[in-house]
Amino acid sequence: MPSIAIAIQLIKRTVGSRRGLFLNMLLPAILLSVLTGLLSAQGQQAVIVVANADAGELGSYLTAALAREELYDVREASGASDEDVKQQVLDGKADAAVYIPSDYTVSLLEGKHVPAALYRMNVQLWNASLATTLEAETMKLSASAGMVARAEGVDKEQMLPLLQKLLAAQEKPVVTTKHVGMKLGTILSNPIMIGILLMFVMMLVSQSIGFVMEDRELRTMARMYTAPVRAIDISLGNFLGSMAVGTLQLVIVLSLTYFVFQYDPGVSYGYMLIVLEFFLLAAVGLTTAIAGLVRDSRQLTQMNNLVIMPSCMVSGCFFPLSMLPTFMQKLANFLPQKWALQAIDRLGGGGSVADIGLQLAILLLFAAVLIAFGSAVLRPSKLSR
Amino acid sequence: MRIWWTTAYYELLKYSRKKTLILILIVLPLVLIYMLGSAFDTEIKPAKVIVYNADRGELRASVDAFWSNDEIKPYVRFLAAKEEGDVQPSVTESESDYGVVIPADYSSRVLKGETVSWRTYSGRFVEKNLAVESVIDSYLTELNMQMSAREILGPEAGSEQEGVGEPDAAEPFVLVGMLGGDKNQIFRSVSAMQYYAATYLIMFLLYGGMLAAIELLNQHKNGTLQRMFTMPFSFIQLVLGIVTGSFLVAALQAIIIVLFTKFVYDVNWGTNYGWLFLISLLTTAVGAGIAIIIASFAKTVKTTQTVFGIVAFSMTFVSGGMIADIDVIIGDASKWTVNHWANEGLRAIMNGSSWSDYSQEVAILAMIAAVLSVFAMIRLPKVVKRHA
Repeated sequence: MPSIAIAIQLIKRTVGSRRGLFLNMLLPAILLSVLTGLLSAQGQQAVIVVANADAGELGSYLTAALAREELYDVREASGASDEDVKQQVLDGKADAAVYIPSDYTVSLLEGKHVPAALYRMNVQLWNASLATTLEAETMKLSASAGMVARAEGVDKEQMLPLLQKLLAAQEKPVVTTKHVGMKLGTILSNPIMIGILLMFVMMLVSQSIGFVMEDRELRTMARMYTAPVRAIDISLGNFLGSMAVGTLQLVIVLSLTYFVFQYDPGVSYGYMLIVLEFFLLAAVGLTTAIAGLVRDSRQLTQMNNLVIMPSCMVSGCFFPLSMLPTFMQKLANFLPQKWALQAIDRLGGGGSVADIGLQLAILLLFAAVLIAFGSAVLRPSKLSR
Repeated sequence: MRIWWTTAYYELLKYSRKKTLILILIVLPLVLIYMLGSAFDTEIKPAKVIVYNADRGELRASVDAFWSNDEIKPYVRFLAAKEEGDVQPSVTESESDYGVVIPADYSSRVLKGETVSWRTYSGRFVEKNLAVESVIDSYLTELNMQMSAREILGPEAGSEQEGVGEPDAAEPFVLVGMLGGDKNQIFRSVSAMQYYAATYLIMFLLYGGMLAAIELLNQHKNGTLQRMFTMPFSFIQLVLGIVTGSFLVAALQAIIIVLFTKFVYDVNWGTNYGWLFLISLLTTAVGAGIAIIIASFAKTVKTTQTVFGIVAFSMTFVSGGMIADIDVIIGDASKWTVNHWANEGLRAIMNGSSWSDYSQEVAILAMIAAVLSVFAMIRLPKVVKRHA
């Protein structure tokens, strides 16, 4: 079948050279695995230094309450002064610091508020949460101590045991929260790995479509049409070639990252490949549509530089979509990357192919509309330049 | 001199007709600056929490009052669910960041002193889950405290202390010290928009400098240079004119990017435009130097572009152009990039520091530019005089 021969030629031109093989197959795989390494090493836990200068017991009670939260890395700095911990935050050694004054327990038992100090560089969501937690805990201590102090018939010696009893009772609260296990994918909140893979797919597709355009410019395509081969076979050959090159890249890059570098996104190899195959189709569509708008393959490369990076950013390939302004989040609906990421995220959350039908259908629709729009590229140009 | 300027002028004219080139060198950085700047701005984005309160009892009012309390609004935005079944899908579909269902027997059980649980659905973002959980915990802590007090200290204790949990303006429970002003830790004393404006100005100025090498290679390939070599005038002036052309493009790039970001994105570039221009010029020189050295080995436009692209991209990446706090992961490696010194200089200018604060950065940048220029001059004949 002539289409196959044309497709094989296109594969040879894109990845047949050592340079092509390196840039399109090895480089993405290496980059992705380096990134996995970097991002997993990051393990960002906010470091919180707690200086407990309190002579009594309530200071350590407060420290223990903060240490319960798993998302903070609470480090006790015994003997550190107020200024010491403040300096640690300023030097970037700690993300936040808490200082509990030396008369904390004594004052509380006398029914007085003594504020603990919290130092942070600026307001962020996580440290606002820390402040809320700290406020709730200090309020609890303060109010409990206040109630004990005001309770009738309690003398000084009885106060601390009574307060401890009251605090112990609160360890077994009446109203609690119960987490419902949610099966959520991690791709949408941490998309960079898959995002970069999508970017590489788009880059490679633009390269292979570029070769088709080059054929058209140099009139190779026009000459091909003199051969006793049906026009549809030639167009199909070029299309199949672009798809085959992309598939080859996906299989090699995925195999390397999955099996050699042990990347585990929580989605099986097969499902991942299916979604990416649909994305590949949409990417071929997008590139042919762009190719239909420009004059030559040089311009196509330049246009792709303009389109690929920004569209990957808007569609949430590098950072979560929710970080962008609302109108951009809506704009992302018109980009295939968003739907591919969403599909992979669902699979990662334990979904099956049936759950991602909508996403795959949208990717197919992208492909159909865009390829129809850009189909002129796959035929020889009628106008002579 | 005349030859120099005539060449430079025609170079600029030629560039001005390449529309896609202008788009890439000027419009693309502006788009990237806007997107990264607005994605990573330091403003707190509150967590959206969807709540279904099935309880119809006496405590419903106080729970509703808690969710619509103004104090939690900066961190948590409350959405009421129409029915219980809406909560989980809303979190799964990322329409909300967190879900809460309060059971129908909540009031009755609490009033009887029996244990009861709110069902919570945590979403995708750790930070947002944490924010909602801490807000819920603080409410429940207070509630539980009052109930324990009633149990241990007698029935009056809890109710008597009504309102004790409200932090008093005069006597706060926690003193919060803000050490960094309103500036962000990650972006080192400038805003996200300023940070990315500086980073991408520098990255695209490097690309602007690359034009010199590309143009020299092109004119060599087309035989223009060889023919000009036969002319009875200084060949070096012609070559310098071509290089100057790319510097003019870069200058134009810098002017447009700075003015556009200043007036449209409201980026504060400081007041010291002279130094700003010097840093831009030095960066362009570095870009041109690196590109010419690469071209002298690579000998074709395509390879030069690819190799230069990899060099410029990795320098930008290492210096924090994509992930701002990358130095946490890779340490001081960024100091080995040109971008680092240029960025530091620009950020100091943005902060309005005096020139002595950034003279060191500028000096290092100037030194790198000087060394690269000398090497480029030595290698230049390999680019322009091959087979000549």
